[in-house]
Formats: sequence, structure tokens, C-alpha cells
Amino acid sequence: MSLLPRQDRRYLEGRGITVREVIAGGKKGVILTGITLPEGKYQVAQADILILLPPSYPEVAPDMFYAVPHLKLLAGQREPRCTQARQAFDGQTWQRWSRHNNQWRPGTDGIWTMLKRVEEALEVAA
Amino acid sequence: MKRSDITLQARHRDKLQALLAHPRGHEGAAYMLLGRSEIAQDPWDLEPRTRYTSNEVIAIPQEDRVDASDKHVTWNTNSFAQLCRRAKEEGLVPAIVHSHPGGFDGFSDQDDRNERDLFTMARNRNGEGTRLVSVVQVGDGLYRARVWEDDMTPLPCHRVTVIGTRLEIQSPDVPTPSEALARQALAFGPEVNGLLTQLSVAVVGCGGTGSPVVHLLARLGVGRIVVIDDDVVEHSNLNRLYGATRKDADNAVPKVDVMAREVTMMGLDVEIRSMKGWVDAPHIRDALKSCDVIFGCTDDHAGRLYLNRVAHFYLIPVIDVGLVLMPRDDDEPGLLEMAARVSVLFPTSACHGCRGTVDRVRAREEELQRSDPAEYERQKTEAYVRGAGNPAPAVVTFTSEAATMAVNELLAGLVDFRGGGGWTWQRYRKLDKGLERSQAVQPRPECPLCGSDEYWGLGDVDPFLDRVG
Repeated sequence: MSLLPRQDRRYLEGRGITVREVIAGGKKGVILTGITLPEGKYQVAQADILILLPPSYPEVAPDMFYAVPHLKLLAGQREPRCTQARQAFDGQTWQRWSRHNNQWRPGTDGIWTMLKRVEEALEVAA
Repeated sequence: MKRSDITLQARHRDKLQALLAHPRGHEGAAYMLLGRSEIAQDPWDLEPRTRYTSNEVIAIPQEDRVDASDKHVTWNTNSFAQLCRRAKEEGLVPAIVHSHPGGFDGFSDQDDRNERDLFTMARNRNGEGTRLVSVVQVGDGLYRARVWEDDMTPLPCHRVTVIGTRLEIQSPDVPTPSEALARQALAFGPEVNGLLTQLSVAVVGCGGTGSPVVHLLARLGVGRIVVIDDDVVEHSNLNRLYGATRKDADNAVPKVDVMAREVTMMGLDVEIRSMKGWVDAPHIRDALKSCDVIFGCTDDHAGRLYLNRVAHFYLIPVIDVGLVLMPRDDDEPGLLEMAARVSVLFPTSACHGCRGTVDRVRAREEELQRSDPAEYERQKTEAYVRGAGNPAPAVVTFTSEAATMAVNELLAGLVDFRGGGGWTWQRYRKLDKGLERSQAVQPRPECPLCGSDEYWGLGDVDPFLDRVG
């Protein structure tokens, strides 16, 4: 059983990214392990990122994303803005990055769009 | 014997006719790749069945053609090996098509021998579980088909259906229609009742538009109906829900049970099945996949998006009904807009998304509300989701008019009562002005569903419909 649509799988295979597809508590998500964070910005160099896939994806957008460990900015020793909510999933408590997404273009956007959004959010977080 | 049937996209039938045509009436041949739809339990006879759907038509290369006459066609099998390789890689079923230009309606002993050899080749290459479909074009437009699952005896397909802007059913045995339908034959000719009797139709949503659709289909003589809805009758529905009584509302009877009861009480030759549940529930998949046509009578955007994909993957036309009754925005009674829309969703036309007849943001919110009500409420207070507005206005005459438009679209796919052309992809009727217009709808080239033919007739894939369920 696969969770991701074929285009996403092709993209991830092409980039050599392995993801863990998880169904837990009625929710479906992919966990990207060991994502490299912007250098010198957070208390850790790598984190796991969870993307919850809503029913009907990829026709509708994934919304927010989640991180473990809970990321803190080195500057100020605090969590970035809008990351205070928590989400339990697959036995872990995730830090919710509330970055809302209604700019989804079905057919054009996929897991690659979401990865780019995650990278950008991690880069510009303050 | 396990039932199987084949659905051809009309554009594929046209391509086959062109490939098989020969100026001196020689036999011709071509290949196809077919999607496969496995049904564990048909909702009516409760038996397993397999449906095949055309995904691609492939010409046999000129250099592989060996010899042909009006009685035979021979070709070198290099390209057949290629076909088998692609079938395995892409999870499709290989098919060979040849013609009997003289009109012989069936498969000859020579066909048996050739196909058995080809099947053995395919199985040796692709392994156990291999299937080979064989289609013969009789004359220039009639198709018969059979499936090789072992090298002993092929299974005949009980029917071939061609769908484009009409629904053409080719079946060797047509059931005798009920005498109750005689007056309808006076309007459309004798064939229409035979066609209707052979149809299996799903109605998704049994509310204001769905309940009259069910009643109209039953009176029209559709042979098998399955109704799908998760709701129960409420008192506020009684102004428009056909068949529902006050007692049904008092007892919160499921809408699908009311439909089944009412249609059964008509005592006509209709087999009705009811399924209570959300349309994308796994236990409802087989019922949808078993149908020839699906009526989308839900006002739910997530449900629309789902059926939109079913139409393309399984080549099942979806006739979607939408009603717009927009209240005035100044708190005075009356309507700003009143219109009915009927859309037919099927490959070559635009999908719901490209027509703008579905709101994807709203679809996501509906899914969230269903799957995680607590999170939905939380996001609503955080203003992340908009939430549904006040109850929409509903008037039985308008919902019934929309239902009639929808069922007439099915009729237009079966008989030429409008003077040719089959169904219209989209009609929009202004209920206040009595005006109707047909709307042109173009697929967006970048749309994966309707802008490219990759998904058309692909059948079963993992994940189901290549989406998150």
C-alpha cells in the first residue's frame, strides 16, 4: 500500500529522498528524516519534518508542517513565531509550524512544493 | 462464470476503426493497453467481476505486418513482446484487436489457436496472473471481446461499451424490457428501453436533487440503481425530499432506506440497493465501480472532487447536479441568483477543477470537519478555516427542475432526442429568466486529470485514484 501519488514518488526517488509513510490515529502523513537545517540558526543541525496529507491530496493542499525536535532559534533561545502549538502523531509530540497554505495549484504543485515551502520557512523563521 | 466487460473511450474506438480499415477489405490488427477494475462484490448479484477500460490504442508497426486477406491477418510478434513489457511495467492488461470485415460475429478456430499462442507468450514473459484480452471488430462498428486467463478456454465478455458524448452498449443478449415502458418506446423507438434496462446507475446524495433523480430513473426503467448517502431524514428536509414522510424524520430514517423503500413499492423491474456511508468509504468503492453512470447529487465539494477522479480513472460518466440559490445580502427575502447547473464529467472534457465547479479549499475544510471535528473547530477559532455559512435556501420546484435536467442528459446519451450530438458537457439554466445556455469547458493543459490522458481508463492503482484517501 502506498500513500503518496505516483508523481510524488517519482520526484522523491529522483532526488534520493526517503520518506516514511505513516498512518496513525486516522491521519496520514509522511516523515522526512534528518532534514538539514540552515547552518547556525537552530539548536540542532538536523530535524525530522512531518507533513500531514489531507484527504484528497494532491488536489487539495497540505497545510502546516511539524518538526521534531522542537526547534529553537539560537538567537534569543526561543521558538520561532507561530510554532507554539503541538500535534501528537505516531508516538511523538510535534512542533506545529503554522504556515497557512491556500496557494495550491493542483496539477502543478506536489510534494516538491511542500518541501520548498518547508525550506523557506526554516530559512526565514524569526 | 465470472462476468467481465470492456469500456472503450470513443476516441479509442475511432482510432481502432482507422487502424483496422483496409481499402480492399482485408483483416487488420492493433493493440491496446487496458486498465483493470476488480470488483470483489457487485452490489446487485453479489458476485466478483472484472471490468476493463481502454487506456491506450497502439498501432502495430508496419514492419511487423506479415500478411493479410479478407479471411486472415498475420503479424510478427516483436511488437507484442513490447506491449507485454509495457503492460507489466505500468500495471495494465495487454489486448489484441483484429477485424472481421466480412461480418463474422464471433471468434474463429483460427482466432482460438493464434490467441492461445499469444497468451502463452504473454504468460511466459509476465508470469502467473497474466491476462490477455482479445477484441474483434465485426464489420466496422460492432465489438465483441473475451479474456484469456488460462490457455484452455477464454471467458466471453458480456458486453462492450463505447463512451464519448453518448453511451453505446453492445451486448449479445438484451433483456426484455417491462411492458410498463411501452409509452416511452413510442417517443424514442424500441431500443431505448432495452438500453435503460441494462444500465447500472449510482446516485450519490439522496437529498433535494438526488431523491427526484432516483424517482425519475426508476420510472424511466433503469435496471439497477444503487443509492449512496450518509444522512438521515430531518424535518427541515420534508419540503423537498421525495418519498420521505414526517414519520421518517421523527425516526431519523437514513435517506437511502427511504429511497429503497419507495422504489421497491413502485413494483417496477428495478433492483435497488442502498448504501449508507460517505461516498469515499472503502465499502462503497465496489458499488461505484460497478456502475455505468454516476449521478453526483451532493453539495459537498470533497465528494465532487472524488467522483471527478472516478469518472476519469474508471471511464464512468458522472452527471453532476448543482443548484445555486443565493440569498440577497441585505436581509430582505428573495434571491440574488437562482440557477441550476448540470455537468457531465468524462475524459476529453474539463474536470470539475478546470470548470471551476468545485472549491478545493472548501473541500479540504469539509474533509477536516469529517475526519477531525475537534481540530476543525480549533482551526475555525484560529480563523484558519472559514466554516460553512447559514443553511442554504431550498425550494422543491427548483431542486426537481435540476434533477430533470440531469436525467435528461442521461437520455441524451442514449437516444438522439435533441437531434444528434449526445449529451452536453455543461448546461446552466437561469431559473428566474427561463434561459439556458451550454457552456464550453476546456481542460487546462497542466491539469493531471483532464489535461493529459495518463489517468484516463487507468483503473485500479495504489493508492486508490492516486490520491490520499
